[in-house]
This record gives sequence, C-alpha cells and structure tokens, in this order.
Amino acid sequence: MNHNIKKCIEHEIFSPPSFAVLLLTWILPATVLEAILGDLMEEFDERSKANNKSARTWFWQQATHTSMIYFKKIFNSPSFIRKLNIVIPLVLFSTAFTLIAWLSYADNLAEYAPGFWQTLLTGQAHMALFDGAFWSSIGDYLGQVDSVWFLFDGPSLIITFFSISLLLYLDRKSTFTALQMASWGYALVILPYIWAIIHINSNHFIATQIGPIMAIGLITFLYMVLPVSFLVHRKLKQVESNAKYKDEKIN
Amino acid sequence: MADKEKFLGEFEQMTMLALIQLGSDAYGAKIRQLLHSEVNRNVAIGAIYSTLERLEKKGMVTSQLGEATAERGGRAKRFFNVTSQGQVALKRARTAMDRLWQDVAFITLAEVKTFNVIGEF
Repeated sequence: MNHNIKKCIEHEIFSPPSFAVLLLTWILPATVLEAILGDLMEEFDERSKANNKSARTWFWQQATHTSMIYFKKIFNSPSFIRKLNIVIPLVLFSTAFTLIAWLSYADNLAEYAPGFWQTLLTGQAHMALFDGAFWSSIGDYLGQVDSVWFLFDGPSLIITFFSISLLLYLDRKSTFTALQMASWGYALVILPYIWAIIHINSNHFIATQIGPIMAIGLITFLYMVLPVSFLVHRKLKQVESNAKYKDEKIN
Repeated sequence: MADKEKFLGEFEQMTMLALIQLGSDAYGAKIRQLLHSEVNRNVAIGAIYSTLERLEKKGMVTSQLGEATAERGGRAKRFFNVTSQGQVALKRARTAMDRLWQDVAFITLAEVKTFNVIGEF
C-alpha cells in the first residue's frame, strides 16, 4: 500500500506539465512531434531528479519557445496563407451580400434602427454589423429576397471591370509577387467603399442621394472580393509549386 | 542548387559541427546540451529541429529513427548525420571565414586608454 502511494507520488512529481505536452501535441507537425517530445521528456527526467520545480519551468519554457517557432512556420507557409485567402474573402463576400440584402429590403430603417440610421447617413454601412437590429431581423429579410437584381449596379460593374483589368495589366507588365497582388488587389477592393464614406462626409447630401453612392462602395466590394481572391490564390499556388520544384531538385 | 542555399548561417554551422562532434549519438537532446555546454547557446529544442529540417531539405543532413526508451516516454530518438555535401559546405564556410579573418586586428583596451590620454593633451 505504502509502496503504491510512494510510486503514485513519484509519478506525480516526475510528470512534465500536461498542458505543455498538449500544446506541443497540438502545434507540432507529426514528422517531428515524437522526436521532440521524447527529447524533452528525456531531459526533463534528468532535470527533475535534481529539482522538480525548475525542471517543470524549463519544460514550459522549451514548450512555449518550440510552439512559437512552429506556429510561425505554419502561419508563414504558403498553403496556410492560401487557405486563409479562400476563407476570409468567402466570409467577407457573405457578409457584404447579407448587408446589401438587408439595406435593400429593410423597411423604414429610420424608425426601426434610429441609432444605426444616423450612422448610415455618414456612409458607414458596416456599422450595421455591430447593431442588434441587423442581427435580429436579418433572417426575416433574407427570406424575402426573391431575385438578385438588387445586386446589379452599373457604375460598380464598370469600376470592377477597370480594376481587374488594371490588376491583370500590372501583373503582365511587372510580374507581381503574391504579396504585391494581394496588396494591390485588396486595396482596390476596399478603395471604392472608403471613397464613398469620404465623399458622403465631405458633401451635404440628402438621404436619397446617399444610397447610390453607398451602393457603389458596397457592391463593388462584393463584385471584386472573389475575383481578387482568385488572382491571389493563383499566385500563391505558383509560389507553392516553385517551392516544391526546388525541394525536388535538391533531393 | 541556388547560390543562396550553398551558404550556411552561424547556427546552421554550429548545429552541423555538433552533429560531427556527437557522431553516432547525435539526436535532439544531446545536440541541445552540447551547444549549451560548449558555446553557451541555450536554445529551444524546436530551434534545433527547425534548423535540422531546413538542412535536411538542402541535402546537408540525413536522419533516421532510433530506439525508444522508457525515460523518453516510449518515444523513439531521431539520429542525424552530416552528408558529404554538408561537409563540403561546412569547409567552404570555414575557408570563407578564415579568409575574412586574415589581418583583422582589434585595438586592445590599453591602446584605447593611450589614445584617450593623447586626446586629452
């Protein structure tokens, strides 16, 4: 009995911090996980015989530094950025679509959401996402959407056409890197919306005049976000295949 | 191989030299301990593996799995070796550094003090 208790205490004392082990298991790739955990366990075992507390502190330091190194590697890898470049634009597209549908179909916003109405008159349509009225009524209004004509806007189509043409021209002229394509592309996506806010705030428009200006900002955003994501995606795939080709050549 | 990949960074050189020093016993924990005791570099085990993975991609290092032991929680060791390509790169790095170090002289502390005294006059 005493022997068992002693064994249990020893086991408790000489175990590395379980959360640190979990952190490593979560972040490290399978190719190095076993070897790194084994190395850490081995050194921890030696250190804990001398001082268990400092051994646990040492294990934590090693686990956090190692996790940071591999976390940075994951975050900087082209495949992760490529996935991010798909997920974020899809979320932005869905959000913009929902926002445009709500603004197009919602009746009497001035009475229904008076706080947001004042913000909307300054062109900041995105503030609806922080308003309870938007979230409580969006389901009902989305159910009313019966056609996609509310998404058609002539000026937005023209801006999108010229912006995408400009991107393709610049890429052909100076062969953009993935970062340059992303910077230029997403800047062109957001620029009409920023222009709309500045234009509305620097002029004294009446409420009916604000709608079409805001539509240019929002609908151009909607039109452009996915094509730009595709162009960046194509560039990132190039980067990835170049890296793979380089690896194969070395091996 | 691109020109950039022929060159080795300081930590890459240290890690490869540690592998050569350790011989058949070159695995993560031992490499870490050797770097700590010999050159006072107390690095994270992840930094060593990250460097070794990079060197393995460059073809300068190879690795193979070894036996699992109880004190490692039943986990296998991963042993590393410097390839002949790695040895050539190491020698090239040493030759380059030796050439740059030639005729480099530092001013001693006594000389600095003398210059200061002359400066005061």
